[in-house]
Amino acid sequence: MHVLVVEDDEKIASFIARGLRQEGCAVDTADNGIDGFHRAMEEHYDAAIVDVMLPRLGGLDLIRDLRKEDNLVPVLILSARSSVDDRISGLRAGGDDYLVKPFSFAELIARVQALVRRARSVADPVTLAAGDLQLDLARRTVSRAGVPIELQPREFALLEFLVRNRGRVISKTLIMDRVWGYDFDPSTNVVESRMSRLRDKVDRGFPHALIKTVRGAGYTIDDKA
Amino acid sequence: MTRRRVPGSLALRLSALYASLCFVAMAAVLFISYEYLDDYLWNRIDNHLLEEIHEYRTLLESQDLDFICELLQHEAQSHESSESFFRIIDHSGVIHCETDMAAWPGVNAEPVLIAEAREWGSAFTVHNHPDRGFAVRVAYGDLGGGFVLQTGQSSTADGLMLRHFKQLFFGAAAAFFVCSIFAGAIAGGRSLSRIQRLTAAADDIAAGAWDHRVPISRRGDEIDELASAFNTMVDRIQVLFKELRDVTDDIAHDLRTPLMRIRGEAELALREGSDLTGLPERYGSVLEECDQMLQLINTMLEISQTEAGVQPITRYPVDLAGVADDVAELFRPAAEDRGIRLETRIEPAPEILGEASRLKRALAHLLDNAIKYTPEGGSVHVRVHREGAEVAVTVVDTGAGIPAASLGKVFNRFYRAEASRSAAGNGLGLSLARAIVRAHGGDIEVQSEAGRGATFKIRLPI
Repeated sequence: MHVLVVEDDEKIASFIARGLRQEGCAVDTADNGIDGFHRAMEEHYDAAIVDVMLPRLGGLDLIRDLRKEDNLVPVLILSARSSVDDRISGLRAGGDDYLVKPFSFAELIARVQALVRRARSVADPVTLAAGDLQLDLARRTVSRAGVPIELQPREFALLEFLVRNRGRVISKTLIMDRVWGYDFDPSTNVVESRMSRLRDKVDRGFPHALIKTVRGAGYTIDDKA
Repeated sequence: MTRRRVPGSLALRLSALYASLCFVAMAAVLFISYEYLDDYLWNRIDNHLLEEIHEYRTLLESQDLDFICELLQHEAQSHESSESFFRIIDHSGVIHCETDMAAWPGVNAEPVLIAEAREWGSAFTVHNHPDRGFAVRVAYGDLGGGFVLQTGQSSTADGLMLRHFKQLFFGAAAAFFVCSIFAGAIAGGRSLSRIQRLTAAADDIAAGAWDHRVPISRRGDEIDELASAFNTMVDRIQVLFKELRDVTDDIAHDLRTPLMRIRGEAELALREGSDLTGLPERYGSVLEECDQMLQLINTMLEISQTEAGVQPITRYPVDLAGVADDVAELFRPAAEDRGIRLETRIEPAPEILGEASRLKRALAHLLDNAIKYTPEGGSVHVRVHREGAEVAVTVVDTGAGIPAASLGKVFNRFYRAEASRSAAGNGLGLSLARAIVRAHGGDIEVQSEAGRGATFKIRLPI
């Protein structure tokens, strides 16, 4: 996957690029809107990550110019502001998605992958797998090493999210928000309790535990045993 | 302050307006009086002349003309001949007798008026005497028997009176004008000096004297109302100002603590150099601290944006029973792990108009709180039911309860009762819950007795 990152903050650009390369992407960066525009016009990218506040040419203007030239590269807009108006103007300018800083890296990757999938019109897979774990998304069934596992809807959604992002650390806040639709960080063990029930069903009785806790950071599914 | 000051410009305009209004009213009254008096005086002369004519006509019925002529001469001598004259003329204009006309040059017998008097009984004219300052009123009256009496009276006395009156008129008007300017200036000035006090107080307060208030007189007039509204506004601003300062202090405190931990971790990692043991855990804790700070900032913003209506509620039909069910299910494992019974009693209730995700969020904060403060073996009840034109959602716990002194403050930002200082959370959940519920046109209330649990109740209009 070839990704263009247009971001003037050197450190942020650097960590996005490093993270994407770890994911196996080829990354080019530009630190201003004009350079970003020329790069996007010269090469074919699978996705572009564009900051709103850019020197020389603002992010939204950059996107508008690209769309005027019929460049349809999927664009993820980055912004430090979360107001609805900013989101709307970002999407109106031709952006495909909008992410508010600071964001978790897992979220960034998930969004970029979703954009690329949509642009390539790749149909969502019907089954997902991590190691010997199999998820049938159509029937909402799970099995591990051929043994069926009964899950509640919330547990299924949680497991699906972890498997989709396997290898990445998913924070509790991200689970609350993206999996269950609650945009807050509870002070009770809402995520932990649910996760321990999921583990009981998924990992108990198997020699290799798939779901791992990363202290302070969240959870991950690691199938590279 | 670069306020442009035109001293008393409003006072000047007000008093000028006041003075001109008074002057116009006064002039109108005086003018009407003058006209009325003038009219009255002319009528008085005319009536007198008509009386004379009537008297001589009656005399001529019984006496002959010579006698009347003699009587006229006699009368004229006993009177001041400069004030009136008499002349008897026949229809052809021949003068039969007259008083001394030396003082009345140019007063002739006009044939037209003689004819008019014969036809109508009497006729009047005004003769402007060149030597006299005032006009002479001349009347012709038919005496019968072919004779006409021409008689006239000078208006000198009346004229002088009118002239005096006119002088009085202008004098009074001038005095009145000056007085009304002063009166206007004083009346305007008194009101405006109170407004200036208000301005001075506003300037003082703007300069930082927040305890300053505008004195209120006991008149209860518009300026007092303005002053009272102004004071109320300053009271409110002062309260908000203090709240803002407290909130800023709280934010600073709540951000400093995680920053300190992050900084400490990073500094320690540098000192330890290449020793990488425990590095993932350290990074993990740094992430956790960052997420906490982020949560704090986002929640703060959300509260103020919800309160200010920056992100208005989108209103769709929402089934609160479904919302309560969903939230309760979210928390069920967490409650079980703590040994708390989570019970729901959800009665069918009509749908309300609102935003399901935000209402879920509000209720989630209530449940999060209830579970947090309920000890093992306790229980939390969630109930949804209709109450008149509202749907009520209550969350009842069997926790330590809230002391009476703190009940009024639990919805304040960052408020945490002393006992719960050590518990997790940033003290913003209930504030956000209230902001969300109020944005929906509802309200939230709390009842509690120390040691006997707490009841939070959300009421939303159908």
